[in-house]
Amino acid sequence: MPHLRFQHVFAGLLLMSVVTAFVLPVKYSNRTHPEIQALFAPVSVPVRAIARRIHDAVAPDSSSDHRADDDIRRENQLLRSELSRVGEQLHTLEGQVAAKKELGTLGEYTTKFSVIGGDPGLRESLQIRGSSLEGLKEHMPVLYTDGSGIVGEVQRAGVAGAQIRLITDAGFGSRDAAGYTLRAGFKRYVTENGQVKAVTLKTPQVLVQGVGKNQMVIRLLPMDAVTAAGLRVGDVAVLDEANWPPILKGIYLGTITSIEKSKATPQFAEIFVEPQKALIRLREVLVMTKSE
Amino acid sequence: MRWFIYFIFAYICLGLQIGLSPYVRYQGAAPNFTLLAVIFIALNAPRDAAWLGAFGIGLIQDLLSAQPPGLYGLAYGLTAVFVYGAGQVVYREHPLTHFSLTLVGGLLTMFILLLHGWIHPPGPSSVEGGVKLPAIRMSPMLLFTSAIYTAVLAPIAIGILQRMKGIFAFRPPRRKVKM
Repeated sequence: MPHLRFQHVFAGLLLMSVVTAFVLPVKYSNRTHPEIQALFAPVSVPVRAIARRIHDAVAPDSSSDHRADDDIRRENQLLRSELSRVGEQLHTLEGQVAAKKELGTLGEYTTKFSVIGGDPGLRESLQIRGSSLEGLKEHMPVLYTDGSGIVGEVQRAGVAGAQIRLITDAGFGSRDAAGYTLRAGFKRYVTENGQVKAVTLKTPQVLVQGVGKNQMVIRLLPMDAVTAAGLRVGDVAVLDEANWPPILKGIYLGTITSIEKSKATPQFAEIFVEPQKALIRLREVLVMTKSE
Repeated sequence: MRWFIYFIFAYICLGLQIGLSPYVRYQGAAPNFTLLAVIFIALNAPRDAAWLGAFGIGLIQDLLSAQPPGLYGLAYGLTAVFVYGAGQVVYREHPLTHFSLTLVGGLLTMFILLLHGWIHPPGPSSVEGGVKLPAIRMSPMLLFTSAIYTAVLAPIAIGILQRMKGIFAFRPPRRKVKM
């Protein structure tokens, strides 16, 4: 009778890893994936808090806005007057009620969760202190805490934790097996009569894909359309995707940081888009746990 | 090896990894603290414990990552096999040993992640509006930077861990034989 030795058991474990990682489709392997993120919170949360303080003191995140100082000063002036007007209205809001009102109708559909940490590998994801017991499910949209933009979607949720896949993660937005994509339109903020207004730019709906390093790319917009719409660095990409809840249509995805001709297909532009914040370092997020 | 200490060690390393990695990224590449733990275990523990310990750390990392389960388990298991073998013929306390073994472990992990990304890209190729979009894969440069970054930290991190290896009781105490 052959003896089962440790090498054989170990080889079996490695073989099983090959099967789950390379052979089994992701949708099946994810189902066998227990969520244990919350168990690591006692270590990761204090470590993250210390790291954040050091990071903010030593190397704070720089802005992706590279406009000339004069333009920024002009806009600041306009914003100042706008701020005083808004400030008057703001006085009427108080505490939690104020925050809820500021969030608008989105507040009724969302729940706030704190972030435990980032991805232990090189993907762009967040571990949150939430679970399926709190109503978290796959594909639920995730927003900034002020509801001003999209952060990503719930990738997995279990009893002891949940994982958010960020919009900047490599491949986010590409058509998946379920047909989910991330599509966007464009807006520009202009000032008219001393008031800041968002103007929708006339461009076709475009596919936005995460490419890592807190960036997304748009590859399917013809150069002609870019020129016709006058699209430029500083314009913002906003959600325009039928698969996502209608209430989120037009919500911020990111700001254009570069527009170049695609090297592979020169008739198309290659547009890089970056969110206003480093998503991997967010402290809290809102998850849209209720549908309209 | 004291398995209770091993579990606490793995828990702390993974907690550090998810807590620290967003803040210590260089060009998007984070150091892999868990790989340092794997090298330390594989360098000092007896063969069976080294292989199993490394595989276990990888498996838990898989559960916390956006990658499919098994990927880091496989990478760290193979790394442990290599490091354990190499550990028999190298000077285990030397910083250059720590650097080179971590670099090999990092490159092996990089190779497995790249192979997986090549077979199952995170953003598969698709046709949108009659235009074929290329697949979006993990950047090899990002993975290579991460491997180098981790290897640079290895002499310090493993150097400190080597001074604490007593608490792991990797080798059972020798019995005195009465003549």
